[in-house]
Amino acid sequence: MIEIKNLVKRYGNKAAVDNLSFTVPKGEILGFLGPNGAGKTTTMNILTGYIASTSGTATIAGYDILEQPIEAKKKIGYLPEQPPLYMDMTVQEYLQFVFELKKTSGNKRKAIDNVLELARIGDVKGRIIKNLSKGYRQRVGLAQALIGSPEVLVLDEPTVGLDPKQIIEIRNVIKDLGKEHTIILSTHILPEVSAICERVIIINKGKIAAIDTPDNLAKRMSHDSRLSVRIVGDQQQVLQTLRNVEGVKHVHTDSMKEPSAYDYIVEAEKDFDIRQPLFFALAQGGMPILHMKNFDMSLEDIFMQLTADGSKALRPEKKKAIAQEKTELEPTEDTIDAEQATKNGGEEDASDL
Amino acid sequence: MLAIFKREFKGYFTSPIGFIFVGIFLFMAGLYFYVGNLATNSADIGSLFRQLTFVLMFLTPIHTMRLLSEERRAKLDQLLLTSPVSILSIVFGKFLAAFAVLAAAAGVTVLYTIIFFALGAHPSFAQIIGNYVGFLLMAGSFIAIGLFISSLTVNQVVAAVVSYATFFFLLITGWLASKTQDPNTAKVIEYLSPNSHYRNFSLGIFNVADAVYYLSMIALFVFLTVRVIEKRRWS
Ligand SMILES: Nc1ncnc2c1ncn2[C@@H]1O[C@H](COP(=O)(O)OP(=O)(O)OP(=O)(O)O)[C@@H](O)[C@H]1O
Ligand SMILES: [Mg+2]
Repeated sequence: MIEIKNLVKRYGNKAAVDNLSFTVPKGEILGFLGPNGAGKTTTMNILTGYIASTSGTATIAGYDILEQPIEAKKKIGYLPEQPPLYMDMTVQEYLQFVFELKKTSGNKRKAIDNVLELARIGDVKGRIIKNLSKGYRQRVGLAQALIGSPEVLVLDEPTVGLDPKQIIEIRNVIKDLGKEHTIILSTHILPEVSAICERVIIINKGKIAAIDTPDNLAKRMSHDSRLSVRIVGDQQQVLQTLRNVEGVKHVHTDSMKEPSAYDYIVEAEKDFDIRQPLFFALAQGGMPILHMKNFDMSLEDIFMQLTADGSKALRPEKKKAIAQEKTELEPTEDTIDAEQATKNGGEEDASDL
Repeated sequence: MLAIFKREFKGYFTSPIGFIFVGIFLFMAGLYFYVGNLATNSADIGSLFRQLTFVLMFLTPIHTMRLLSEERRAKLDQLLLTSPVSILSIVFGKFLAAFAVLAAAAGVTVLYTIIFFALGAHPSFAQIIGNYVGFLLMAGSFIAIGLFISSLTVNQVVAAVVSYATFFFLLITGWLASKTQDPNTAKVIEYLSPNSHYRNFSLGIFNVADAVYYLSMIALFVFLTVRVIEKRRWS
């Protein structure tokens, strides 16, 4: 349904999108994930014909967006990053305008009632858009994209500015739409991707870092078994003891979670179960274990690993991204692990796509 | 194109701009009509319209300044350019809307000609028609220029100021031509002057070359506007 081939967009000598290729089959919901400035919006703007690519092609339902723009655009509903709303119109007038602009066929009233219902904005249809709250404006933007039930929906951060209840509502709407439409949506919110997308593309600096199902991504990143262990005792002594256990590849301190107890991330060699040796070694040294669990990689971690490139310049951005997700995961001071994972696993994985 | 025309035309009257424009235009027209015709017992409709062409120069920048600039600032161009309509129909729809507002305002002045007849004066029909046709053609070319300038910036005020500068230059082309030594250069400058092409219309003389001048100005600037928008997608 959507085919993107060797897409490049250069601004000056900086590539915002750098040789991107992927396809989206009919009826799929594809998540587009990446840090700020990754090139998500740029890709979507090219796909919808707002800007032209420097090179490469984007095809929608067999129509090239540059060669047959009118046909291609008829298939697309686009919700841009900033919803394009005429502030001086009422919601209904605006949707009527979009209906006419898109040369939608069929009954106008029915089409508009339908999108009012889908975006749950029936109760504000007579209001001037200027007077709506940000969340409602976002929903009017979504309604606009849905008019005429286009085969392809391109949604740039569709849940931005909504409250948690609305977010869940809109996610369900999108999921429902996904049964009949092909959808690309971009987001910073990782749980959102696992909640609604069938496939994820993680992009960073205009390049694809990974492309897979949310589950698979989590699976293939967790092959190096890591443990999170909370241990009471002198930090240096604990580290010393842990490092002497057979099969332990790498140890670092995560953070102090309780008085006198630290959390440690212990990485084992492949195919080693180090839990028992770990227990005995620590017991012998008189260092009680308060808890021990597998360090599950969430999409957050995968995301961090794939998009980390080791440069210090990226760090503040990464922390901001983490803070944004409001996860419990705290930024690790020691990013060497992440870097290594990227070098060892991430890039290989990405390159064989 | 119809959707864009309708939206733009209505937009003029949901913001103060449309009312300011039409209001000032009609006020000035009424003033000139009273002072130049009624108070002085003159049935010269040509002089009335010559004054109105100056009013046009001062009002058109306000009329056209937001046509494309405001939309781009509010990212509304994203909706238009990703819809299944050509850039030409977007631009032309906007041109027609601005033109229609102006034509409606000019339409009100038909009252004045009726007053002429009611008062027993009989200006020639050819002159009346000539003035209206000429005036509308001139208005069209000014709007096309203003539209083009508004496509170059996201700032309405900049668009208005640049339009004023452009119209001021066009205004003084006649004077420039008279000061130019080289007769050929003078001819070229004279040809560029919108006022020089209005003279015949104002006397009720239809000259194809004059109409061609205005129509090609419209075509040229509509085309240039399309090119600017097209070009920006590639930058
Ligand atoms: N018009 C432009 N001129 C110059 N550079 C641009 C332009 N538009 C985008 N860029 C650059 O291209 C890169 C990608 O931007 P883009 O908006 O696609 O990122 P994004 O993934 O949507 O980010 P965000 O999550 O913040 O929305 C950025 O580095 C940005 O600075
Ligand atoms: Mg973006």
